[in-house]
Amino acid sequence: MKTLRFTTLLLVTSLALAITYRVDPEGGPDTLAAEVSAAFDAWLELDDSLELETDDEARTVFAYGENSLFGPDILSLTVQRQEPSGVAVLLHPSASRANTLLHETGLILGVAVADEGAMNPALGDAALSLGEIEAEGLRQQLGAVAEDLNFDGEVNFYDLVELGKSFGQSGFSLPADIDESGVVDEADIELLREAYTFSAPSETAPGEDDLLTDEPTLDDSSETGESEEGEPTEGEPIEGEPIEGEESEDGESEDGEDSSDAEGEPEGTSETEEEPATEPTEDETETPADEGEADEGESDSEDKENTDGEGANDNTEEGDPPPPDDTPEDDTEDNTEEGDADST
Amino acid sequence: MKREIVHQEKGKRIKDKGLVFLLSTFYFLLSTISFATTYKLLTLEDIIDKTEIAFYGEVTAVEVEAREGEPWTVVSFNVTDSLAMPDGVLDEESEGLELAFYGGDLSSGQSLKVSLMPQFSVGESVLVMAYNRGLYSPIVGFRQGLWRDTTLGLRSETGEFLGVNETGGLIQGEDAANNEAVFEAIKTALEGAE
Repeated sequence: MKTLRFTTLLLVTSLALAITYRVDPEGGPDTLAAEVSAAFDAWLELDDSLELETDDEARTVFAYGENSLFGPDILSLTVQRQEPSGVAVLLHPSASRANTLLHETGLILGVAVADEGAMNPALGDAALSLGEIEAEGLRQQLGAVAEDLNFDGEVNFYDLVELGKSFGQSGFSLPADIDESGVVDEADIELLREAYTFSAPSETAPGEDDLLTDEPTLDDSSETGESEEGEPTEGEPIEGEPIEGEESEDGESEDGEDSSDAEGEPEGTSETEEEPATEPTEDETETPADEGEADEGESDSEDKENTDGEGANDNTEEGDPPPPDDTPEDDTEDNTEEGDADST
Repeated sequence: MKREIVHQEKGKRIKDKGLVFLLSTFYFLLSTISFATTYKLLTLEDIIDKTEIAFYGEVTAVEVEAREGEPWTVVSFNVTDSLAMPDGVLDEESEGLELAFYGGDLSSGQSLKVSLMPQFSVGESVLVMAYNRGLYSPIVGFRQGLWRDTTLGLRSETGEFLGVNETGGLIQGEDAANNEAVFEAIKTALEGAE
């Protein structure tokens, strides 16, 4: 229960996008706090809804690293410790930190690493300022679901391609590392697959629509805002006004509920394992292509096999049947809405 | 009766799922936060100029040890092509050398991960250009002086391949050259940089 309360507290904090951090200037110039603050301020100019505050107990800390260990090329290290858990941005005490801090603060705000601008980890000498590229990155971060790797609002084939490109890479900054295990691996493919299953093909077969409307209750309730717990949300029009409990008698309700629940857990919780066994779907169009691409991604990166298995706990078992997905279009909308809600 | 049990079980599942949803939502929020190390952008010429140790070899061991209470990953290489090697670095007998990288998972459970730090797997072959001193990452340019041998050629951490231009000069881009040609070009470039 304590854990739940703690989680809720953090959740609320996260929902408000309040970033809490602290600065430890030991081992370098004591201007560090002002430098970090200035870098965050630059981001705030792009989006003033962000909330930033310092806290001596914060688990994200900006500090100086050991000068002699940086060498001539390294400007900062982002270090994630398990015990005590937290993230430390270790900065070079004697190198210019303005560009580095723009990058690091952007990342702490959740903006993805990019190939250009301040979000490129390979920094040039020229002074950086935040512009449209970074603003777009911030907007994407605030509005996209984790599996939407190309930020186009859908989880589809193109996201799989993006994942394939970085398969095998490691780091904390990789957009394709959906489960944040530190490695882009099979677990991320699995998560993408789950989300992908809910992404509808743009066309449905002519007869399929009729088929779907024959079973309006579950799918419609899902579409119109059924929450993850399977409870209809207030104020949402639900065609046919089905009641979950009543429908369970015909056996289909359970499946339907499971389906919507599974959709509600796209982010790699192992709990999805309990969901799918009910009935493998005929998801002919998506799953085979998905798996095929996954193989391609693997072969592309065969040179680098990571043994880091942190993401394993987030992974659903290989070979899990895809979750029930009778109405892919409904599912897509449901999933997208939820992702938006989560990230804002 | 059966129906009652079904409803009870269902209620329990819904509660469980509420928790699951909460946790998964939180996890989602965490998962959207990303971090990265930063380093100076180097050209291939910069990398060559800074290189003190250069070799092609196979990873023979990856072990994590504690140094002053912090985990460091010690990677052992069996050097098959020595391109630049200061005295005393290579174990002449075993033709091996070790490079240490900050971070890793100790058997004690202590874990420290450094974003974008190169990771190595036993058995893989790599081309390394490194500094001859203890750094968080001894690779020149943090990770820019590392290429992994793939079926397509020697590939950098950012996906570019080492190649050779018409005059035999070392280049990096989309086209790969065979390893021998690349090694020859590196040797020439290193000699020119001295």
